[in-house]
Amino acid sequence: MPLKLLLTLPIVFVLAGYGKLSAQHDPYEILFNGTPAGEVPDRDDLPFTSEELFFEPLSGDASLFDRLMRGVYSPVRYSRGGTEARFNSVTIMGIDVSGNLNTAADYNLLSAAARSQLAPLGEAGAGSFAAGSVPTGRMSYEFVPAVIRERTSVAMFATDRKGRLGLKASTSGVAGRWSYMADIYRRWGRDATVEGVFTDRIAYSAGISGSFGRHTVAVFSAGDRSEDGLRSYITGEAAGLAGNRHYNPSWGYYNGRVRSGKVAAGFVPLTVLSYSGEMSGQVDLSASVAYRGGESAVSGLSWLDAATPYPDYYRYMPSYASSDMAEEIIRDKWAAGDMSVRQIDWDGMYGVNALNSQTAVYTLSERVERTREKQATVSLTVKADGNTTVGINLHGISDDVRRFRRMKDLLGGMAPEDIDQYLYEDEIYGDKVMNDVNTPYRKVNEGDTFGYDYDIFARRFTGMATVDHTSGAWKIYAAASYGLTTFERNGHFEKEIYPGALSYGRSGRVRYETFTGEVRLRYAFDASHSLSAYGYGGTTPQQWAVHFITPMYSNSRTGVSRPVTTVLADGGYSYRGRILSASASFFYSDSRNVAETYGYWDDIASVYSMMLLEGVRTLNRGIELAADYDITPTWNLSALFSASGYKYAADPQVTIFSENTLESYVSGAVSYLKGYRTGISPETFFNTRFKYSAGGFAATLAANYAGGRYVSPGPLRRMQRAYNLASSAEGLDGFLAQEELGDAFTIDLSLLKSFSFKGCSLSLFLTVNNLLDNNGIVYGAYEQLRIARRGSGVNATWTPFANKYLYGYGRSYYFSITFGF
Amino acid sequence: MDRFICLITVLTLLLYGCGYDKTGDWIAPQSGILLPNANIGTVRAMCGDGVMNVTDSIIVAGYISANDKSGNIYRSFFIEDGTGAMEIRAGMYSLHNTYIQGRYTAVKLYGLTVSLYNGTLQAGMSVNDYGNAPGYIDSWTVAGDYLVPGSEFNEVEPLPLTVPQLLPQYCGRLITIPGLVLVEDEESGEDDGQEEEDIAERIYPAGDFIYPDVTWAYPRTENNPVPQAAYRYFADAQGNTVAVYTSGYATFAGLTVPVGRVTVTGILSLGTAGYYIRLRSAEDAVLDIN
Repeated sequence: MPLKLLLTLPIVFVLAGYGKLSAQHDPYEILFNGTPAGEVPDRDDLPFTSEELFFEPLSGDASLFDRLMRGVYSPVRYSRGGTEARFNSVTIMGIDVSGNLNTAADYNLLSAAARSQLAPLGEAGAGSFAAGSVPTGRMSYEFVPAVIRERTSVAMFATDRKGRLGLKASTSGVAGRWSYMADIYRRWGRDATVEGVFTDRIAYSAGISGSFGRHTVAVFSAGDRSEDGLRSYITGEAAGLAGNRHYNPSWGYYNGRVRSGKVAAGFVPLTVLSYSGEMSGQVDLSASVAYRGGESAVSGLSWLDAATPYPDYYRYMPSYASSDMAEEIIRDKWAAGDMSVRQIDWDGMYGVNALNSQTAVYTLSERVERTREKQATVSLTVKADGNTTVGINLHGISDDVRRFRRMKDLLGGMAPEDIDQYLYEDEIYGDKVMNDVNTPYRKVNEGDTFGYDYDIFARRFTGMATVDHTSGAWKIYAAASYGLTTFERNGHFEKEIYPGALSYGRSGRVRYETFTGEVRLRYAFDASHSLSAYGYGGTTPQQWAVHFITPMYSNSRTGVSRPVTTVLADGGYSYRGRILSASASFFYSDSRNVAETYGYWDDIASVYSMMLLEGVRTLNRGIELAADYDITPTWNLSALFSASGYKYAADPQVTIFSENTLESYVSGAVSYLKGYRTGISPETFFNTRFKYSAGGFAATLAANYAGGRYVSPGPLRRMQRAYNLASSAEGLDGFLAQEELGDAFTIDLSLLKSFSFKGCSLSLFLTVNNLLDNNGIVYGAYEQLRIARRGSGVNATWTPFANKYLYGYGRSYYFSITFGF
Repeated sequence: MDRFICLITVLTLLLYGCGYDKTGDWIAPQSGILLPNANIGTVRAMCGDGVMNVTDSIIVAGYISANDKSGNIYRSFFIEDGTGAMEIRAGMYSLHNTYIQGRYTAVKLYGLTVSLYNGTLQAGMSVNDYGNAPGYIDSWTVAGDYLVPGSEFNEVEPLPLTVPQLLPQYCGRLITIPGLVLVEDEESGEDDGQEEEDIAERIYPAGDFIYPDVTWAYPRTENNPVPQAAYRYFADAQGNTVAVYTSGYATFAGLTVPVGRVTVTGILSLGTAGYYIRLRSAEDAVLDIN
């Protein structure tokens, strides 16, 4: 025992001490990711740690492309099959954690589950693969006592990305009829590349399962209490001024320390209780109930009748300067590193607040989501005969999310009144500024709710019938489902500009009945060759937010009621040999009638607006090739390649509502998006890995290429009312052209060495991503909805705001030590 | 047992928090005030015709007499130092939270342009589109190089004048004129052609004053989508008139002009039709006690 403890503790103390120093490091010595979409995920966010993949054999029904893709660390934003995350399906012991109903998926929770000893299972079929895929692919994590290993391990890791240091302790084992697992994970540190980005996280997972003859009961809980400093997308101009593509405008110096103005924090743990058992030789029953509850929030600066505090605001940029002299001064200040200009000026804001005896002009507030979700699922499977299994699943979700704004920090100022900052100086509605007439002109102190406060009650019930039949070389799976989904808003504030039921109380329910059908076929020529095909057709509800004109404030509805219709198909050929495995597949998905909403300031009408798109149609098609070759027992070569197209296939109808009147001032218009790339994923992707493994040592050299990448197009620019403002052919091109992003090429190196001694194991793992230190890779980008007007009257010129980018990391490393016993 | 001891050890260490988002009380940075090396009256005397680029390291300073808080003064603020007044054509919006009324502010004129525009000394950057006045600085970043607010405050006392005493040298200054009466409901400076003595008779009849409801200007309403400015004419007991100009964007544009004799306080300006005063707020027009 003493030897093991001695081996563990010094390493832990040293690294913990380094972490503390790192947190208080002088910011100038640190060398130069609203919201998860604004973050570049790092290795620890992947569902599988790289070292595990060295030892995990290729197995199961997941396709070869799926399994190889799990080990890929994409340098760019990547979405398998071009499908948005809201179409994913991920379950934990039968409980849906995809986040498609009322909130976004909790990736921290998914990571916590993935780090646990739950077994990840993909569904059979050519279309099955890890989370991030078209609806055919479902990832489920199951508590499988049979795969629980007797093991305890402590791991420490270090990286230059976000959380610099981490510790993980886990244990699992079997004691009689009981299986147990537990792990705790701690990660902290400031990003070495992007200032203002940090993480401070503690996550846990724990589960226990008991087998009683033919019955098994399990309970599992996972959660992640996290605090993350975020980064923001930036324009090319801001990156150029800063001389740093990783420039982050979301932080500034406060009392000499880096302080972020955009912090995401949350803790929404999940607890699942499940039962599974054989009722008889032919009938199996399983059931799970779960509760997920907690709070998550993102902070941001607010200001009332004052200059915006964000340093990269377009009016602060040299391109907006009204004279050459002013432009030069601005450039000089950026070049000189004037932090009051380049970053958030906390001193400036506190100074303004100190001089105002009436109200805080600048404040820091949080947008909070308080989740209370209950789920239950029951499945009954019957072995009709030796080859056929019939199943029924009933699944219910009750997901209540309360959304409100909370004052986090008055920045030294006096408590302001709870009034609408956007109406404050409105010439017409400036006398209707109260956010809640029931508490008129209430002073808002730190911790108080203000601005908006409402619930979204989401309910979903799904019934699914499945048939699974194996006949000789054939394997057939078919399923059909019926779903009933409702959404309802409940306002806690009566907003003065939306009196009575327009904002307060219940909105009335939005109701969807949805149907899906799917068929999956596999034909195995022999043990090595197989063909598979998959077809899916069905409807799904629209996202809850598209049903309300201004969901933060009002019950008023947009009138959206038709569900999304999706048709998809995939199929392919697979070969699995002793030393060579290969696969070739195609995919096709057509999603129609998607509704989307955007809240924005409409520069043409000079009105705070909400744009509703109806009839968005996306068409995703492609081929995927994969090969894995054991050159020798120690050398392996693998490769995967995809070529695809992700496009808009229709011109959606556009309605634009004024947020003041809730009336539409643009209706029956069209956004000419048809033919544009969605930009969700690279259209060409290639990865190859060359791996050596022998005697407890493994090394992998990987190359990644991503091409055919585009900036996600904004709908406003493709409307006539916008592009007709162009005054020249070049100006028109500025509205209509879709920017293509440069190709990305990276090389990664991973090394693993493991030792075994006296029943213990020690693993050292090092990976270096982007060995070539290619700093110019754009991870993701989007078009802004703003249009700038310069001049007035007949001399006015209109140009769209510059696109915004998130740049990927250059060379980065990840190092871990794992001690198991 | 060994495993659990190790785990407990690790767990204990994991409780250490980092506090990246923790902040202590704000420590205000050291600041002083920038002292002037010239007065505004001197700079005024330097100005001739047209716009002048300042090539000397001239620093003036004063207390802010008026800003854009009500929206009646647009993208500018005024400072006075007792020798004169200067309009700072800053160009940004929501100036009043930084350039607070009464706040000491120094202005480094080197590199800026100054001119006497319709009697008002103005400072800005480059020239405006018409070439006859300084342009706006138009950038908080740039303004930081030229405008240095201090921590001292002193309300500017308005200069008491009568209508006949109005002179170009007072343009840009905060003045106050008592005993004025609203003469007529006029828009855009048109007069009704009445002679002064007729106006005097009409203004001070023996009986009560009866006026229609007159607002300072015409703000945007649902029926009036475009705000309109207005001139309101006031006369003293001798029939001397002066206009009060109010922007349709002013927060008090829709408020009613007080009925009776009023004391009007505001920034004096000179236009093609004569002198006019710009109020800083509705409280700048108060009924005379007597």
